[in-house]
Amino acid sequence: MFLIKPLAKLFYALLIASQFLVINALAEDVLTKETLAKDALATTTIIDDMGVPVNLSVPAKRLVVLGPNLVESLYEIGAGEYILAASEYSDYPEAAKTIARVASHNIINFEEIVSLAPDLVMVWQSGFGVDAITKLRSLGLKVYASEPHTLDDIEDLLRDMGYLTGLLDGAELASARYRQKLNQLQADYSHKETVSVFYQVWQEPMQTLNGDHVMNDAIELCGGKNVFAALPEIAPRVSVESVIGANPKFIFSSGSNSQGISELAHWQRWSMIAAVQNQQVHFLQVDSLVRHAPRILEGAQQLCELLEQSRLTQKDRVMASE
Amino acid sequence: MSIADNASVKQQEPFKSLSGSSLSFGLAGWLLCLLTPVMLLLGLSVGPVSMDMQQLFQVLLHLFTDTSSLDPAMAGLQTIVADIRLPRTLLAWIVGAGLAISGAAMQGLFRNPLADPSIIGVTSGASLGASIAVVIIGSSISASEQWGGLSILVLGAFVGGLLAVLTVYRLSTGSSDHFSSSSTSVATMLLVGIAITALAGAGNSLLAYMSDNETMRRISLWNMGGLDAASQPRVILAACIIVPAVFLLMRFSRQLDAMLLGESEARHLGVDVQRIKWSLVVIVAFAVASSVALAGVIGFVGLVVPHMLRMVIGPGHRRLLPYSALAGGLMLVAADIVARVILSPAEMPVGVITAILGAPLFIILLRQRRDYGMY
Repeated sequence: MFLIKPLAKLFYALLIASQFLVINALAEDVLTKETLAKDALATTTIIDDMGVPVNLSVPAKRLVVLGPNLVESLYEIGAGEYILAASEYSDYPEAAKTIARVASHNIINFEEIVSLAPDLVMVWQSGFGVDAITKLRSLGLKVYASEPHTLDDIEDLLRDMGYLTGLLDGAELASARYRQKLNQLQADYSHKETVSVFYQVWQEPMQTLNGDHVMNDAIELCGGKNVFAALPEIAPRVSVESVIGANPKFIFSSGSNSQGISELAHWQRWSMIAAVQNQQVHFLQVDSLVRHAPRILEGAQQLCELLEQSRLTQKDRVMASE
Repeated sequence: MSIADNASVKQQEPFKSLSGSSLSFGLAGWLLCLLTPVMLLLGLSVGPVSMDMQQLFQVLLHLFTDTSSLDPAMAGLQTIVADIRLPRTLLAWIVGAGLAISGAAMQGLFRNPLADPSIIGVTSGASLGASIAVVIIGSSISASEQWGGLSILVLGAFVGGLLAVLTVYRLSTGSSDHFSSSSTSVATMLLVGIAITALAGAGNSLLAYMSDNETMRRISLWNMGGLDAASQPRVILAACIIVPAVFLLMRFSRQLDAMLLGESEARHLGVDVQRIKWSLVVIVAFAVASSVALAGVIGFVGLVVPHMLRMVIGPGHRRLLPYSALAGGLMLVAADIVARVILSPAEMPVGVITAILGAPLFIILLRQRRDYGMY
């Protein structure tokens, strides 16, 4: 660790130095484009999730997209073919798997991105960090930072994407589809009897998500109440005892592979928790529940169905005991 | 034997004016012995589930009896105390004691105030082992797959820590010395330790770089240390490895006193220097590897607790070693209590607390004793 840091710094310095040449050339290019645009069309201005206005004189047709959730959403509005390059793990839909990669979760190939000269770079903020976004902007690129906190935010994201790419119809269609499904789930489940829920990110160290995470929104959509929603951190560490203290009626974890199932086994020891007592410890084998994209509602629906099932078993038990 | 005694007397001479008085020694001893049970009891009584003193007393009375005789609410509280708080408090106590006494022994062996238990590469080796377990094995089988309460992560850390120390020891042992066929240079061991630590750190960073976001965050959280995964099997493992190590280390007080004079002086005083080095390194490796495996990387305790005690009771290892163990245990139990209370019901990584609590205390002591030196 001590060795790698200075090395990384050196590498970084070299990287920045080498880019100045490219940027200078690019800056001129951007300048001419802007002056051209002024007399052509009124510019589209979208305020992104960092509060920064993104001005586009013409709709963006050449996109670099950092964030699997954004890639999915773009395909949803029909802008999939505009994507020149994307980040790792952009695996949905199938077509996304063949897109060139310019970033993994913790390293971004700035040089490659600059050389692609995209009209717009879309970045998932919490996935890549504010620093990376600032750097992309300093390189003269137009950047749209996305950070959806709620399920409603995803609808806004689809609309923003429509304005940015000029695919207004596709975006309208996609957001209407999303809204309809969201409304449907809301009508079906959110008024139901409240079930207290604990979401386990993983067991060791035991972590959950607070009210700022979109997972919390999904839980509330299903008529659940996240027992740790009020904690200040977005992914707080909790202990078994704090879960016992909160006494949730439903415990769940989710993931794309079944590995997570074994991480729930330890709950069986704590029979004083209502969820354990009533066998309401569940694993949802979906990856969409943690993706901030329209597909999140598929995961949410599964969660809603499980929660509903848990309400029913609860009732059965009460009736049986009476 | 008498020569070694002599050595320890000689050791304390420069410190007489500072700490030789029996008052501060007695006071420190009494304070530690008094505070330990208080802190352990506090460790059992504090947590997200509130419980008054009367309930706690009742629970403690029935701690090892059948829960069926109790009413359900009390049975619940009893499970919380017996299965969560007791293992956690005991693990904190044992790990803290193990880290602090290991630190004292390493500072004595290396005659270096910056030495701490991680100096022989054990901590970074354990971290790397855990990371490998999480990243490589974890992708095929669950990293938290339990075998009697012990996960692959724990095993990976333990094996990694031991392998790192073995490497450091082997690399710094050669036959260049004139006195014996194979000898270990302490200075070389220190430097090889740094090299191996760097190498393991690089391996760790490389794994973090290659792994996805979730795995990386998991590794980094684990590296911050935490006692929330404490369970009875873990306490039993800690008791089987760290507790004997603590008692074994205490037996080396005379030899460590002699070593403070210098290696050749110690040799002339009749200390089998090579054997001492090997024994200390092995014992510390076992103690620290298991503590890292069971509670993650907890910094500061092993470095600072022995120094604080030297300032109060002097450098003689006969007192320093057991007192370090007591104070280290006390400090980690206290830090863990703060870790679970301060953000309750969320948890703070205990390593953060030990530094926040320990650093100011250490600086205050340092400022009071500007002339503090190790020997």
